[in-house]
Amino acid sequence: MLFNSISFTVFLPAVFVLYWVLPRKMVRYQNILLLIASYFFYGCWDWRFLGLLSFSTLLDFYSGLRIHNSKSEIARKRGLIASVTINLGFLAYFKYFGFFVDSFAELLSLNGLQAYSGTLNIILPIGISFYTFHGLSYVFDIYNRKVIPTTNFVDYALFVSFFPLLVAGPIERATHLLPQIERPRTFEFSKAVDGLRQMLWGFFKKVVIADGCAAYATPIFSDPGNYSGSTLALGAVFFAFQIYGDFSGYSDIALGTARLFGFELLKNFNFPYFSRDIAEFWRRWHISLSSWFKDYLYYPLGGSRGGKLLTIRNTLIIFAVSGFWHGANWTFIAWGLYHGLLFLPLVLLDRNRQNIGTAAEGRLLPSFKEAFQMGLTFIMVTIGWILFRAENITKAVEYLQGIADNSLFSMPMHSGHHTLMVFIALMFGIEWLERTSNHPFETVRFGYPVIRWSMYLFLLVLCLANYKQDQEFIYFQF
Amino acid sequence: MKRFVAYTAIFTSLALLLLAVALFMPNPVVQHNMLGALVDKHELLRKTGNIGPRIVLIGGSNVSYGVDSKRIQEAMQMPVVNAGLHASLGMKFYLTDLQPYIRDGDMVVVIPEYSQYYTDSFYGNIELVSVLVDVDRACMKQIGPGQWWHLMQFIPFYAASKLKVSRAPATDAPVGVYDRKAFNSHGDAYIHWSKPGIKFTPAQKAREEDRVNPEAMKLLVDFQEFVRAKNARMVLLPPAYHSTSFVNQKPLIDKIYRAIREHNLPVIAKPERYVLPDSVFFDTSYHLIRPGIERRSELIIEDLRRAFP
Repeated sequence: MLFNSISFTVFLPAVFVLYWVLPRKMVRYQNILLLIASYFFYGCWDWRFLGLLSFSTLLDFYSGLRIHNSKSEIARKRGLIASVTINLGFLAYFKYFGFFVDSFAELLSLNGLQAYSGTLNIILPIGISFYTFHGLSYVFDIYNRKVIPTTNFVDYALFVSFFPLLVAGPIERATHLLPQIERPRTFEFSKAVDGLRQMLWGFFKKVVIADGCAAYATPIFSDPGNYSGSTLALGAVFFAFQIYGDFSGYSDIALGTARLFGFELLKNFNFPYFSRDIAEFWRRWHISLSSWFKDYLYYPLGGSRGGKLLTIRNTLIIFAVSGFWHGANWTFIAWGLYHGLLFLPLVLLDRNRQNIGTAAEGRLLPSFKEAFQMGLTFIMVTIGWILFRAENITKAVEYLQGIADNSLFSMPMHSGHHTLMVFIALMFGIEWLERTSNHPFETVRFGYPVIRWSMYLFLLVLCLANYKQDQEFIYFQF
Repeated sequence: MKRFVAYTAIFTSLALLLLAVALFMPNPVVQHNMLGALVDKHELLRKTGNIGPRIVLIGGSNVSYGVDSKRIQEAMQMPVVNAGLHASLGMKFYLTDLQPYIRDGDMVVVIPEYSQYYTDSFYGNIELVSVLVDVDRACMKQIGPGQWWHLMQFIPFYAASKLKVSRAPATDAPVGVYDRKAFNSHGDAYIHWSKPGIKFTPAQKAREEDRVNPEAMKLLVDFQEFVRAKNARMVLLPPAYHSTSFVNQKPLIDKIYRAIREHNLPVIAKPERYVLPDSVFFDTSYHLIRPGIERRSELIIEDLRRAFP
């Protein structure tokens, strides 16, 4: 079931009403209801993978208990290794098996050896990367004695499969979400209204911005050889807006939905296109994934504490792995390494934390220097998106070569996208004004209710008018 | 909680009121685009109803944007009416819509797009809503409760889309490919015939789980009975199809063809026969430019001659 589907408009109110009709002290029943709803939500895609989700949940639940209850360090370590191996084994099989077999076959053929590269037609279970990482973080935290495992299976299963975050995050931590699941929740008017506002903003970003930009960017990326340099550059910029609208829109809807049920999920985006350098970008883009890799991979590898060479190695590893997490394609690895290379100078010069605050803090407009830094960062990120979006490395190179052409200075091909550009400007304008908030509608500036409600109605109508059926979220494929 | 429910109810009511108003606002665009041609096609069917048996071609835009009716008329020595318009009106609508116009001795050639045989797209989608609301409200009588239930999902989106700023084309503007004026006296859209093909994305690979919808089959079986009762004849033909799309969709098309045969529907050609080179398509896997239209019209003539010697 998609957030932007008709069935979700029936599903959500039904679950919401049932959930709050249950007495406040019956948190156990609320959790059971949410768990059933979450499995139903997931089963609407493909019920066959409910078994895999349940198995993964059971595995991590019992691994957590076993690690916690083990007396010896060896037994704890064995429990951890078993859980990690099985979890990553599933991920490797469903997501990367074909990639490894094909890459191996290609390698052999480069050496003049014939290899059969026909692989099994494995269907990727939706959300597998997300719920596997939920489970892994739980097991790691228990092993590191940061969390005491829950003995309530329903609570743990809900932590893994809570429907707003099940298919595309944010990647939650047990330390953050489990306590919220365990304690009674009361309905808060302001929180629920804020949740609806955030959902509306998310729908606007997905339906109007992302799907609108996709209509422009998709044909260009499908056949880059047919377009001028300027059109290719504009196509890449549209994709940059598309992926931002798509993923941050999804996250806004997820966070807003969770808030309707009294939960606060981890913030996943913090206006990343207002970043002044790549390090700041990665503190603002897909925050839950970046922090996951930082905590469970970068720091255990030694982080930046082992000298320059080790820092370089660890930085490149974390970015390459993060890229590979997105999908079984060399383009994602190249995208990860590209960002790693952009990040390295900052970390080596110890300047990766020079832009901690918000751009133009306390001012309406950025300084010339800040505007230049933001523009440069956006360009670097957009070049990276070409690697991310291209079907393969050859196409990415072809795309980049197409941009680096004299036709870059010609008029780009565009037709009927003026309205879309106005909406993009509207989105970034509002986000700029509200860049210190959790989301742009958190502190609504339009004081009069009539103006506020008109704004909400306007956004709702825009979403309905621009709605296209079956437009999946990009991150569902990961 | 009560406050929240009350506020949500008020907001939802306001939104619904706004959409209801928008839904019945005049739409200057749809009456001038290809959907507006439905009225002209009704008129054509009515006018030709008294001149003796006809060949009536019906289907989606594969018919309206892919046939030279005049050529078929000359070869078959029978008047030809191209009643096809748009696949998104759904097979249920266009077959029901045609029924009052079928006369004794007519030869009805049904050519649905492949999408009509699986999923529930034969019920129609947002284009049908726009026709019902803004082209010919009398057509609403043809829609049963089940079909309304299906169409309900499109109504808010259509209503909201009417709030977008849009204008009808100027009277002196050149006729566009998808304009109401793009149709000739037989009902064929012809403006695009001499244009070059535009690059488009072929149909994606068929999914293993795609199944033929038995309701679509029942619809065709019922229509065949209706045609027989009117003392007319019906044949079923595959649409002309883009060869790359055909390769991608072949497993599904095979299932469709098998289902058609199993239901004893009078299909007079195999899908492969109507697979044409990619170069003769205009902007979708179904719309043809002149060389494709000529080839396809010849194939239709051959098949009709063979079926009705």
